[in-house]
Amino acid sequence: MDEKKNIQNKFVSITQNIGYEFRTTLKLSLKYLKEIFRSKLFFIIAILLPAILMIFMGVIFGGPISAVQSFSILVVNEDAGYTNDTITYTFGESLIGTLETITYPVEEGEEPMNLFYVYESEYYNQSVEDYLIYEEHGLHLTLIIPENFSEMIFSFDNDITVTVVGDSTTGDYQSAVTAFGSIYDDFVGAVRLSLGDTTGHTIIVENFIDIVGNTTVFDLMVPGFVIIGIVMNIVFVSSILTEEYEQKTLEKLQLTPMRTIHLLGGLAISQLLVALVQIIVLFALSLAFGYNAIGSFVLAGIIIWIMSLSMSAIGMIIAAFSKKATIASSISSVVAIPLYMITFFPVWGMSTIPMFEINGNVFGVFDILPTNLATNMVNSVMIYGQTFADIQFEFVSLIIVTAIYLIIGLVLISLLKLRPKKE
Amino acid sequence: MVTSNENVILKSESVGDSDSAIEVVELIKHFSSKKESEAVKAVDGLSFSIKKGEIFGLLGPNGAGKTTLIRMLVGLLKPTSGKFLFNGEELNINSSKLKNVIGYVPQEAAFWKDLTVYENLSTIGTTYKIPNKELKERIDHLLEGLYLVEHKKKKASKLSGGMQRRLNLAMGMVHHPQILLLDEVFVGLDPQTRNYLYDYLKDFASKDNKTIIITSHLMEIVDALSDRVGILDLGKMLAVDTPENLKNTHGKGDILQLEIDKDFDDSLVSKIDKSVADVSIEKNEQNLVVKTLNAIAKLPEILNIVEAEGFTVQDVKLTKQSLETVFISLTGKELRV
Repeated sequence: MDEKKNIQNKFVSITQNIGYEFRTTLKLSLKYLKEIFRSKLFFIIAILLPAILMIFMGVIFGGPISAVQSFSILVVNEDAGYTNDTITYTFGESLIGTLETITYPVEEGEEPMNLFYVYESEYYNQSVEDYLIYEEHGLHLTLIIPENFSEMIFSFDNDITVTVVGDSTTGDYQSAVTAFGSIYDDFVGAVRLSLGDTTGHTIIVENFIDIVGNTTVFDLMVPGFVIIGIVMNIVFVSSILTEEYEQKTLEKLQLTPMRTIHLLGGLAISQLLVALVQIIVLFALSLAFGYNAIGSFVLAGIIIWIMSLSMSAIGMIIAAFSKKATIASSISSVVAIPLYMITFFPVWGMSTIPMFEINGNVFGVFDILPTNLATNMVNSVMIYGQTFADIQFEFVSLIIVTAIYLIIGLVLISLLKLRPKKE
Repeated sequence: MVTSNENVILKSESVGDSDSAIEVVELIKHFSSKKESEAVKAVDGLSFSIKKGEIFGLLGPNGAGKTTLIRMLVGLLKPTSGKFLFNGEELNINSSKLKNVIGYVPQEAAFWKDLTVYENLSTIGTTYKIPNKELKERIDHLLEGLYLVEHKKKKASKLSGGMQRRLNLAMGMVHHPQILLLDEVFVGLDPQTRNYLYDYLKDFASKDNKTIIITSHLMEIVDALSDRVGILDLGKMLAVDTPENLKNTHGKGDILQLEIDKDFDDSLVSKIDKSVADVSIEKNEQNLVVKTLNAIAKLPEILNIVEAEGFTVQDVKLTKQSLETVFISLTGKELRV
């Protein structure tokens, strides 16, 4: 009977202790949250700065990538031709022929490249365009040559009008229209000259449509901007911990039965909540500025959320070696810059040096940086629509890398900041 | 005559004494340096004990080793050697048992400036695993006792200096420690706040047999508050006794400090010693330090002798018999603030 009571008491005591452990961690996390959200600096650095950057880049790079060298053009030739002195002229076909033959030199000794890749269609409708967009990945412009095109060329003093259709918000469309306009001018000028007349103007009527699926530079930058916001949390964590040290509140906590895991656990939980706010705010802003994401925001959010823990861990490592908050935040800023730069490496196609390979999955040197892993994954999910199954290896790698950083942070803080000092 | 070089090392009579709250045994702390000449013996073989329920005043000039001793007792600093026992038990420096027994209020007020008074106390209280309801009661009691109730929702950074010090004290007491160590908590307080603290600490110690160790430059407070006083200098305990006994044993009346215009030798000291009755006299650099009862009455006679010997007295300082005179008598110097 006594033994039963003893076991019961022991169970109650263990449960109570676990409750106290959690309560301590949560209380400390609440303390950090209050301190963070009451700080104006936090709002400026963690939310406002990345948000302004996002808005700025959204405006500047909201257009698409215009690095293409050739334009894909769909031509709907409705030209009925024009008969003059028993000869029928089909200038619509001549224009298509001109577009197909225009080339430009690339490098000396190399074959010149076509400026336009022309796809022809007998009629125009949205489904034709959609088909080409998705099948060929990159239709830049649709040209509709009207039924009376040849007739217009013969009717001197008249303007000659064609219609183009495209997404005016994309830089490629604008470049394609410019290139086409110049060739169109030359073509009409040459034909008119051969007919003995130089009057009349070319007119291009533009019909704008929204093309879904075009990736813009901004789209590629969005994960980076969200991650930059989170990377800045290194500065917060290192400053908060060093400030605790500097202002002797860490010493005060050291005098209590609190353990390192309570302190850093509390700090990490608070940072997870901060990161959640940042992720929601920054993704919402990116959407407002035309982020064309086709993947899961939840999956992308979870990836960045896990990464935020590793940023907290890096902050802890820096705090372990710093005695002043100003020094800690300076070191953190210096550390944050390469982390942030590396975030964009995959975007610009820079390759990483492989460290090892597991089942065909390569772990690169840069993958020891959680920002690199996270950016790769978020881009894969948001731009290429990949699912969790496609990024499993990177996801597990991120968890392992984050855990390693956290353990290092925990051990260093415990040894260097929370042990009785020798001097 | 006790000179500053004479060290009185008090041995603990019985290690593991059940009446002792703290027993310090042969405690040593050396701060090493690359240059051997700069190495410091901050605490040099200390042994003494403090009884349960006692208020123990620790006096010493700057650099005497008071703060080093206290930081070792609370587990913030690792001793070079020696040990201490709490309630007769040798506890691990990191044990939560020790942390629950001891409360420490440091010299510099330390708190989270962006948290309110209540939040500061509640955060620190939670780390001691005090149940919520009990913690709330304790905080309310502390706020009331330290006149902070009206300010409990104020951010700590917005408090006045005196209030911040009271908050600092409350944070060290929220877990109801059996042993409370206070390091210079009276420094920089206005008289009103000083009186609050004085009364509060007296009251705190009188309940539940609590032990308080207090370091302060304010002799009159230590004198009035302490059951016993220890005088520490250069890492050694020079004397430990009740304030009354210390005054009777070491005080020997008033202290006259005469600053002489030029260097003098022992002949002047012996001349005064022979001519003036019931004085104890010593040379301390360019000062003559005279200890005697009713020093004012004997001052003209002493001045005459000094002038007759061809010296001029540039300054005279009289310190009436108090704990301070005991301190000067034992350490040969004034308590530097």
